[in-house]
This record gives sequence, structure tokens and C-alpha cells, in this order.
Amino acid sequence: MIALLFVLLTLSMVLLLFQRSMPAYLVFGVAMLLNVYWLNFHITNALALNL
Amino acid sequence: MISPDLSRTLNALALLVISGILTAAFIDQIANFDLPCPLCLLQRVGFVAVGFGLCLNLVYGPRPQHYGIMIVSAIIGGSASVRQILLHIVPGTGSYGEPFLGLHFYTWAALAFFCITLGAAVMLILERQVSDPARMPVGLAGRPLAKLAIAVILLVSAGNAVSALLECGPGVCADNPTGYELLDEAEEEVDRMEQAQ
Repeated sequence: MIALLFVLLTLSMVLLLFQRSMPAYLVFGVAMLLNVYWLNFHITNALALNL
Repeated sequence: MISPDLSRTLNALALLVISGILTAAFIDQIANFDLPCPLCLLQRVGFVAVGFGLCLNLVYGPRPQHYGIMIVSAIIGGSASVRQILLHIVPGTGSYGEPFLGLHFYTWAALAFFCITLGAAVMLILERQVSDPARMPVGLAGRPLAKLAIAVILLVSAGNAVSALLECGPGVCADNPTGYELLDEAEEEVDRMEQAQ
């Protein structure tokens, strides 16, 4: 669910606006971990792509 | 050497450029019905993550760890774009989407991530801007350009969240999307209800 990544990154930037740096870093870290998960998921199922 | 104020201005401009890239992709998606594939979406996520590093620089002042976040985000986003280039690098293996100025969006994205990495590294070399972070003013007071840049990236990021949700739904994104899954499901549901009546 890639939409969740955008939601988390938006939330992390909103937290920055309120100068909540630690929660922002935490949310950003979760987003990046999920990002790497989905990256690994989608770059290893290339055979499903219509080349 | 550049001053912290000039550095913040450059970071705000860079954030506007990132927002511009995402907006251009969004306009292409809506105007030409050029739906982003999962790797395309992950490249967009990479740009927004770079934007987080730029936001940190705008709110807390330029620091090495903020540029580090930008570089890591650009490498992760760049991995998706390089992977997509490699998928289509052999002649006869097709491409995804229409080219723009002779290159596909994923190739432009790879170039952009390379430039972001290079730019962040150059900013790290210009060390005066990060020499005394403790004395850096925190916040966006009196910085209209920074406020505008953050507002735009927030809007674009939220828009991408809605778009990705409509396209992929709550599950895994299709490798070759042909429509907005959630909208199609809603349409089918309405048709079913109409037939049932």
C-alpha cells in the first residue's frame, strides 16, 4: 500500500512544521522502512511486467 | 562559502523544484491518463522523502544529518528509477509511458536523483552554513519562501496519497495499472445496485 508512504511522509513534514522533530524522525523512519520493503517487493517481481 | 540564510533560500528553491517535478508528473497522469506504475510511485516517494530533508533544513537550519537524509532518500528513489531503466534497456523490451523531451520519466527521475545527491554533497562541502547549528534560528518566522515551499510539497504529497489510494486501493499496486481500482470498484458496485433494483 504505497499510499500509506505518502501519508506517513506528509505527516512527518506536518510534524516538522510544529517543530516535533523526534516524532517526525520516527514517522519518517517507518516510512523509509516500508519504502524499502515495497521497493524490494516491486523490483523482484519484474517478470510480471509486460515487456 | 555560503551563509546559513543563503543556504536556507537555496533549500527552499530546491523544495519548489522537487514539488514542480511531482506536479509535472501529476499533470501528465491526469491530462494524459498516464497512470504511474508501482516503481513510478516509489520514485515519487523518493522525491517526497528528499523533500523531508529539505524541510528539516528550512525549519531547523542546514545541518549535515539533513543532507544525509536527502542523499539516502535520493539513493533509494534512484534505485527504483535505475531498476526501471534496466527493465527496458535491452532493445525491443518496450518502455513505460510516453517520453518527455526524448527521455522517459524514469530516466529523468534517475538524472534528478543524481543531481540531488550531487547537490547535497556540494552543500556539505560548503561547510560554513553548518559550522554552528546551535545558533541557527529555528522555525519559519519571516521566511515566506520557505512557508510557500513547504505548503506546496505538503499539498503535492497529500495529493499523491489520494491518487495512489484510488489507483491501488488498500492492496498491492498492479504492475501495469489500467485504471483507478477504487473508482472502478465503486462504479461496479453502483452498477450492481442498479441492476438489483
